[in-house]
Amino acid sequence: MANITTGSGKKLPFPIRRKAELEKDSKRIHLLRRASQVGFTTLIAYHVVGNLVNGDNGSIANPEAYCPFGGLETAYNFVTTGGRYVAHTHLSNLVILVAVLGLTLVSKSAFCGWICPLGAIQDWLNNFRHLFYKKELKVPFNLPPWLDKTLHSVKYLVLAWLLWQTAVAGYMVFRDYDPWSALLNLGKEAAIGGLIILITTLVLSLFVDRPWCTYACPLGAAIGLVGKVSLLKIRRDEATCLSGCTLCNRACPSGLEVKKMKTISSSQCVNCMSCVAGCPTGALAVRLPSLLNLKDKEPASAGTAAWKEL
Amino acid sequence: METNTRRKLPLKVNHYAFGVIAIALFMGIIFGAQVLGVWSTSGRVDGQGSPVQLTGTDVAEIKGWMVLGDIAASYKIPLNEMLVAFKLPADTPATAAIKDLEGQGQNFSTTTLRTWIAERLGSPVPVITPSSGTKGGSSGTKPPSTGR
Repeated sequence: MANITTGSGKKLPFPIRRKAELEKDSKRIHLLRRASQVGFTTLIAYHVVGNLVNGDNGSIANPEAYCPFGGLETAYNFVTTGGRYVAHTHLSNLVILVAVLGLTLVSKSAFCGWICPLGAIQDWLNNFRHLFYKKELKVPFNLPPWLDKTLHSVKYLVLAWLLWQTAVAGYMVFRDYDPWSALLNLGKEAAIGGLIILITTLVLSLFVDRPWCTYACPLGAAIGLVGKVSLLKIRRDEATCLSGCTLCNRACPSGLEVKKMKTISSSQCVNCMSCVAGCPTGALAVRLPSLLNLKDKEPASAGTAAWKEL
Repeated sequence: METNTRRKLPLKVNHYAFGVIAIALFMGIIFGAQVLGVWSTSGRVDGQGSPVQLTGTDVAEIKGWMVLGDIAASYKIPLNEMLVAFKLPADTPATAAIKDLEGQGQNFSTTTLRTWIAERLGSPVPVITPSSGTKGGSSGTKPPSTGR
C-alpha cells in the first residue's frame, strides 16, 4: 500500500494499493471462498454417494434433508397442519432454511456465493471454460440488455408459482423440475424434467456465469428479496473511488456495473468479494448501513492520474 | 485542497472476516438446533433421535418407508386383507416397504393405504393429498372399497 503523490506534488488523502497487492488479495479471497464451497459440496457429495451405496436405510441421511428450499416448500404445510411436512422434507430442511434466512439478514447472498453447492458447481464449470476460452461472455448470447434484465425476473415468478402450487397441492410441485433434486437423486429416482434442466444448466455454465442462479433459482429469488434488508453489504465510498478506474466492473463475475452503484443490492451479486479485493483504494468494502448522511465527499479525480501510473 | 481523512464512514468488515462470519453463522444456527434437539434428517426418528413408533391411532403416522407387517400389526388388520383389498400379489412379504409397492395392485400408495385404513377403522378419513404420501401420490387416487 502506498501513499501516492500526484504530478502536482499533492499527496492523496488515501493510500492506493499496487497491482501486485490487489492480485494477491484477490487470489486469497478466491481461495478462501473456494475452500468453503469445496467443503460444503463434499459434505453433500458424501451423503449422495453414501445414500446410493447404502440405500435409504437411515444410516446416512438422504441429501435432500439438507435442502433449504425443501424447508421453504414445507413451511406452509408445517404451519397449517400443526407440524407435518410435505413428502421428502424433514425438520432439518426447516432448520437449514432458518439458517439461510438468518445468514441472508446479516450478509445478503453469502449463502449463494460461499455455501450453495449448485452455485459452486456452476462456478467451477465456468472456470473450466476459462482454461480454453478466455473471452468474457457476461451477457449471454448477445441478448439485448433489456431482455437480459427481464429474464432476471423469471426466478421471482418461479418462486411465486411454486410456493402457491405447493401450498395448494400439499406436495413439492417443483421437485420434478428441480435440477438440484435431480443431481441429488442421480442413480435413483431423478425426475426427467429436473434432469433436463440440470443438464441444460451445466452446459450453459460453460458459457454463462451461474445461469441457474441468474435466471431461475427460486431460492436465490427468496434470498434476493430478504437480502434487500440485510445488515452487511458491499458499499462504495464515492469519496475514495477513483473516477477513471473500472477494476471492480472487470472483477465482477456476474458482470455488474459495480462502479455505478453505491450499495451493491443486486440479487445477482453473490458476495464473492472479487470487487472488494480488487479495489485499489478500499472504496469498496463490506460495511454496515450508513446512519449518517455523508456530505463531505472528497473528489477522487486527483488520484486517478496517479493510479494509472501504478 | 484541504483534505479530510477523518470522515465517519459506517463500520467496515474485513472481507476475509465476512466469509468466516457467514460460514460460522450458518453452521452455528445448524449446530445450535442440533444441540437443542430441534433436528431430524429422517422421518424414522423424532427430534430427540428416538425411532418413530406406530401407535395405531392416527393414520397420518404411516410413512412410505414403513413395512406392511408393522402396519398390519399396529392397526390390527390382517396382512392378507390388505393385500386382497389392494390386489397386491398374495406372496408379498410382510417386510415390503410401502414405497416399494407404490403403483402396484389397485392404486396402492401411502395415501390410499392411509385412507383405506381410516375408513376401515371408522376414524376420520384424511384429506387425500400427495403431501401425506410419497412420490406416486396424486389427488385423484382413490383407495379400494373397504366393503362396508
